[in-house]
Amino acid sequence: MAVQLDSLVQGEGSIVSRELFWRPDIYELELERIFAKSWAFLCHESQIPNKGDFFSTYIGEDSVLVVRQADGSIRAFLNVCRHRGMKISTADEGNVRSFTCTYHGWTFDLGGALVSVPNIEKSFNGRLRTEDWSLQPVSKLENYRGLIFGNFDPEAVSLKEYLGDMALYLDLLLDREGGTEVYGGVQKWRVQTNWKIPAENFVTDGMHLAPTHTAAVLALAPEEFDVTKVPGFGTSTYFTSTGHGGVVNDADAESQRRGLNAMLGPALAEYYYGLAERLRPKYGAMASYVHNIGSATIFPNFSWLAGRQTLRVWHPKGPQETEVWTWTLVNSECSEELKKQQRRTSVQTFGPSGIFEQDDAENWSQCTATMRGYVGRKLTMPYLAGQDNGDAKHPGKTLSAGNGGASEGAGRSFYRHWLQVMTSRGR
Amino acid sequence: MASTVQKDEALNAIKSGEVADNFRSAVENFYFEEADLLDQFRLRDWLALLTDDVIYRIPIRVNRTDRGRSVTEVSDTDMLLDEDKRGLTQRVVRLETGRAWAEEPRSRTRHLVTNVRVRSVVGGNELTVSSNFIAYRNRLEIEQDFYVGTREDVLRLDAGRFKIARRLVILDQTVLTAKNMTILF
Repeated sequence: MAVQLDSLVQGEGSIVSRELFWRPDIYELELERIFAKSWAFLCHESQIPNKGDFFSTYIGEDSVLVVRQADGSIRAFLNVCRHRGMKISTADEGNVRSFTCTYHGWTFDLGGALVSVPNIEKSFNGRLRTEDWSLQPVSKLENYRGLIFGNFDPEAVSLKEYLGDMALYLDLLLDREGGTEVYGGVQKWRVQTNWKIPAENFVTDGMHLAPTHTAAVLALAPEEFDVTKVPGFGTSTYFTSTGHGGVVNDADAESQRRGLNAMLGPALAEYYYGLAERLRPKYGAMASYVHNIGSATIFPNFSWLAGRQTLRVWHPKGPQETEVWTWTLVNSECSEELKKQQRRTSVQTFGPSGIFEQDDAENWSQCTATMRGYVGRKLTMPYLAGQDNGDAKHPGKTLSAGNGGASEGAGRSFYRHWLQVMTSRGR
Repeated sequence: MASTVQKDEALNAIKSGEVADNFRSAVENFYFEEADLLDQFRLRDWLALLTDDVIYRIPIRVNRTDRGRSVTEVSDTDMLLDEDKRGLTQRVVRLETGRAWAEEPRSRTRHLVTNVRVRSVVGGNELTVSSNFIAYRNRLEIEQDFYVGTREDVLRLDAGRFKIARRLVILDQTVLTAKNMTILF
């Protein structure tokens, strides 16, 4: 069926139809044109340190296994037996010598090659050539400072090119002496919302911070904040031309320091301020990003919070359902005490029980529920904030300034890119 | 409020090894009162049931396959919730602001606690107790979630009353099907 998309995103991304978040035909097209062709964050290399370790994830709705090979390299393939399509592993993670399908016993090695089929000669009489029925590989894999990304599109540009100027922000998250690692496992939960709503929230939405999260701010530091003044700070957004971007908090330095102290505890907050000083010779003023209370999204659905070090993927599970996966990223150089504190605070503030994210999930699910109505889903939504402030070129980014308010510049960019990807017929 | 237990009676029962039989109904009464406080969102009263050094944790569950053996593990490093008394108090403060939108208005909840087993005595004044629970949350129009699992508690006798010193909540989901976890178990 032909989908007329151009009319759904207007004004250079500043007016977006709510049908984007509802229509099943648009969702199906997203699986094809966005998720099957974009670079996806799969896992951190520290999650699969040993030969035979594997981690099960998704690219779009495609189940994918990421596997450490005998030679230390990493490969990834579709978790689909080539015989009848059974999952070859139903585990979240583990360690194996090979993958044997439970349906008909086909066995694949760590690299995805079909190595044994029960009774192959008698059943197939030479008609089944095992080399033709290997697992479908994820066409491209790259390791970016410990983060494993995959792309099903063999024609895809390199990850470096895909990230463009956004690489700077990943560097500021990951460029650590001794590297980074994931602490603990992955929190997983379902939110009844379209995947773009949280992805957009992390790419552009500074406007929601005070109205949505006042309760969490008051709970963490009631003595620090006058509730009447909480909404007083502004946010700017930065973005690339390819849908990536994020929110930077424009609150004054003293407020930010108090905020980070309240969220992380003094010891961890001070670590980040010290880290910024160590990174300053290399990154200049941008080094302060490591303690800025902001957020970011790499198109389409990989997000993080700087400082709070929580990584997340918004896995699409239908037009109105998202499965959120979060990881706590720690810097390997940190003491065990600081790592534990990082994990503890990231669970306290974000995640399903997080005192911030509880309220996000409430808002996102209600925003989605109101699209059930025919009239409601025909409405458009404005992404107009900060439009008159002008977009300025800054090192490594385009900045859409909030000028004390909020900017939705990265949101406009996100939907401009969404439309471009969705309307490109092949390549 | 919490059931009162005579200290001498408690210590005698502990010494005589009759812990499970003598304490089950007292522990059940305590849990039923606790569940009522949670369902009524009388959370300041609920906080009073916790020792000052309480540790309250909800670990994630993980399906792991290792060399052909598959188990659902309870993570010892990653949590859906990991709080001490200060953190739990902050959660109560959050709700009291009237701006915690995920609980405005409050959900309608029902905590059912069952299969209570007193496992052992620790240090003369602590019991380890396991129990199963279903916490039902109904919200706004028709939203509903079930949080189902088991709890492993350490209950401490404090001035003749039980207090919760440790609680490990093991949920039966690897992917939480609820959009958030706004209530405690």
